[in-house]
Amino acid sequence: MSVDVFLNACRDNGVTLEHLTDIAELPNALLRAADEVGARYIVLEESLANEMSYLGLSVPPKVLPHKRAELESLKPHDNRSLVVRVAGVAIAELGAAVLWGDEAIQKATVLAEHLAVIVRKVAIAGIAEAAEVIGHVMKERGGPVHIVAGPSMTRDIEHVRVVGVHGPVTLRFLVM
Amino acid sequence: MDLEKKTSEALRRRDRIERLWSVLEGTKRSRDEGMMRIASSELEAVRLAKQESLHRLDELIDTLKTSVERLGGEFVLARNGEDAKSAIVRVLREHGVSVAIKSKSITSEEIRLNEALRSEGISVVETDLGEWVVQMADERPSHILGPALHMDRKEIAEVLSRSLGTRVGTDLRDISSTARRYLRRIMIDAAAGITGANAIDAETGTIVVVTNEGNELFVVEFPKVVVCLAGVEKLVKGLESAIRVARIQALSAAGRTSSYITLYCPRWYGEKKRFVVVLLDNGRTRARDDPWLWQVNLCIRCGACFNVCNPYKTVSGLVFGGNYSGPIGVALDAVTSGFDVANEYSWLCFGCGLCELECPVGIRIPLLISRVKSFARRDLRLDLLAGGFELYARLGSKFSALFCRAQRSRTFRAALEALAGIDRNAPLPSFRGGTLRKALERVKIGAERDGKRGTVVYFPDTYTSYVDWSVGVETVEVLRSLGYGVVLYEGPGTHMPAIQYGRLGTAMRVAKRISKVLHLYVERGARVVVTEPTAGYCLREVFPAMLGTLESRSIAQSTLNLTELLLADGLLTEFGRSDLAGALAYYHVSCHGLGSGLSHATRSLLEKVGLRVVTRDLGCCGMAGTWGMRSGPVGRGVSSQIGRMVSERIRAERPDFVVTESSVCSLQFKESLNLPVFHTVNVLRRCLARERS
Repeated sequence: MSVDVFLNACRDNGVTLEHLTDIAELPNALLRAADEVGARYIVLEESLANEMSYLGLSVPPKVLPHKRAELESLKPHDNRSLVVRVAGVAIAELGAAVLWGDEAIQKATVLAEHLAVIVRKVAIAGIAEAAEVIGHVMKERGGPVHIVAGPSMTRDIEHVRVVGVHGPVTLRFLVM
Repeated sequence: MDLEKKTSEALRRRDRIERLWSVLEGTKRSRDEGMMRIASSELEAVRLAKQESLHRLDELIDTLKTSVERLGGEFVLARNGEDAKSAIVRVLREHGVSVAIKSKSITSEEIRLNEALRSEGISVVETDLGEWVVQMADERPSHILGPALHMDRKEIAEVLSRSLGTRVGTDLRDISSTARRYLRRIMIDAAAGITGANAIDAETGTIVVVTNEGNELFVVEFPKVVVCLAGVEKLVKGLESAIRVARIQALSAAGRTSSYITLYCPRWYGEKKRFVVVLLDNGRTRARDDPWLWQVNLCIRCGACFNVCNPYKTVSGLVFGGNYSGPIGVALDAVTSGFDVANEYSWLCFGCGLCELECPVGIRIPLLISRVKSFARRDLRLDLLAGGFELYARLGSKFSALFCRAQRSRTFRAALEALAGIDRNAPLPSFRGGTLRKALERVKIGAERDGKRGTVVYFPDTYTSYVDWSVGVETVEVLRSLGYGVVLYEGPGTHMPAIQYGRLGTAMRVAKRISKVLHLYVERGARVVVTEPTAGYCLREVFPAMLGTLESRSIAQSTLNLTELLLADGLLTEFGRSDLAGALAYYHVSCHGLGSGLSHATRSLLEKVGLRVVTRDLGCCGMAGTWGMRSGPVGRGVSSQIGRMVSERIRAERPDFVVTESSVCSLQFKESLNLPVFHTVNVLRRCLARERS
């Protein structure tokens, strides 16, 4: 039930959804996503890079290792980058992914031109359960925690939607 | 500049009026769709969570202080704006901050934080696009969520070109990418960030902020000093409540989930970062003791009330605003900046009541505004308007020929304008002569109390009792012929102007008197029937809210619009095909009809008798009782403009005639539309007569 609610909410939010049946499809899915949005680099969240490596999955050639120094290179806004995050939890009613992590990846997420979030179906929860998880994160490691449901967007001018005013122009959820 | 002058200037900006109407109509449509996803129980849960927090505010403030300090942050409880500003200045000075970035914080507008920081040599860069544009234009935000809503793309491009010294195109992508380019470096390098809050969880010390642009992420992720400035009313207990507030805020604002909800507390990645929460009181806790204004603390700043406020859409928040703007802004300004500030623009609200319908947490905004107006300097002309209409109507019914002649006389109209502020060119109701009671006696329709379908009390209100009783006569005819016993209510009218003009004492006295009389019948099982939407609005919504008595609540439950009564009693079949069948009727649901939920039955009834019915959610026609008759830009000026906007939209539907249940809407449409205007009962009576013959 939560999964359906989540997927419907994502559609309402206009998020690009891609369904993966197996994690082995991930490397190609990431490359495809990068090509589609014209990203020159892919930045993987460390835990994801480790998991892929553990599973023996090939890391796509465009991937930048997750190191602070290299993340700094993302600062100039003309570096087209796709940051890939893993949602610790996703909130069904909001169609949103909850992201926390170290400072470098959190900052990279804001600076990226494109964002892809891997949402595992088992991580989809209602607001009450998600709040409990977030509370735990806040207590154990602090914030900020970002709940992301769409690209950076504004309607401040004549109420017309424009994306990418500060952060990512596109948001894609890879649902596994 | 005074309100009349500012309003007069705003009324000359036709392009802005058209744009604001169109933008806010679009926002309302999106919002309505989005809110359909929310169960009423969820809204109720948010309201209860906010209410519960208010009851336990002192305790929650202590809890937050403990949570923040435990995690290494600093906590400041600021009694007023000065306290808050000096705390923020102190923190920024200690770090030698010369540039601070700020995500949208309406609270910072309330205390004029930017000016204070600027005078200390600290420049503040707004990071929300609209707020940044307004800052560049050296203006104030005109909308609680869309600060630059009063400007079009051309004006914005001009402002940015002038300020940045480079040509910025009018294409929205041009404007947006200029902001991205210009602000990014500043946002990454800023030494301090200032944020607001949509909710704060006292228990975990977590600040919750909703944005679509993602600027909040920059403000909390990059600077080494982060200050959160928020009103005490933002406190809630538990993260779940805080997230729910954020969800409802976003959906009620734009009909969609916001792109980002950012949560942060004093702990950042285990590194040292200075974090200060400045919790601002500034009149909020004092407001808890006010019988009406306490509700302002429930506000979640969604701006939904702006969408339906036709005066706001007409003059923009540059006029309909102080530190805050729009309908709820009146109450927010009264609480945080004082009644004088709020009463500089509260008079643009004419009490249509639609803002209350939109409010997701059920704040009775019209009554809050009425309360604010009650603190304004006394004005004899307003007193006359507030309390004099019924007397004028009674005298007019007695001396109708004289009044009708006088109303056509220039001298009389000039005197009326001078004495009571009624515009000499405003349409005035024409007196039919005599009262409804006399008219019923004349046409020999006894208002007999017994009938096979039981007894109803007909509440005609002032207009139908004394000005034009034709609707009342037809209503009693319809009721009697369907087998109802009818008791004609003959006490005071609802005195809606007293509420509109902030004469709450008078309004309360009248409400008590009416309730006392009606309750005698209601407790014996009679239902109350109205044909004037304002009467239904008062009996069903306003009086129970003002009096809070069992009597007023039981009257509210027993009050029905005529068509609602017929629908409830299964009498639609009694009406045959109308001689108007096939014609296209525009059904205008008046604001008070919408506000009391009384008019849903009418549309199905009109369709049943063969009319093609079209209706649009246009809100108030602008007349609002005597409001639109007042002289000057704030009265008749705004009213005529709204009448024009509403009429244009009605005309676009190409109806053959207009049906409305409101006597004052009829006056407005008769002036602004060249179409016949009928009351629902006019249509019904014709059908009934045809069926019986």
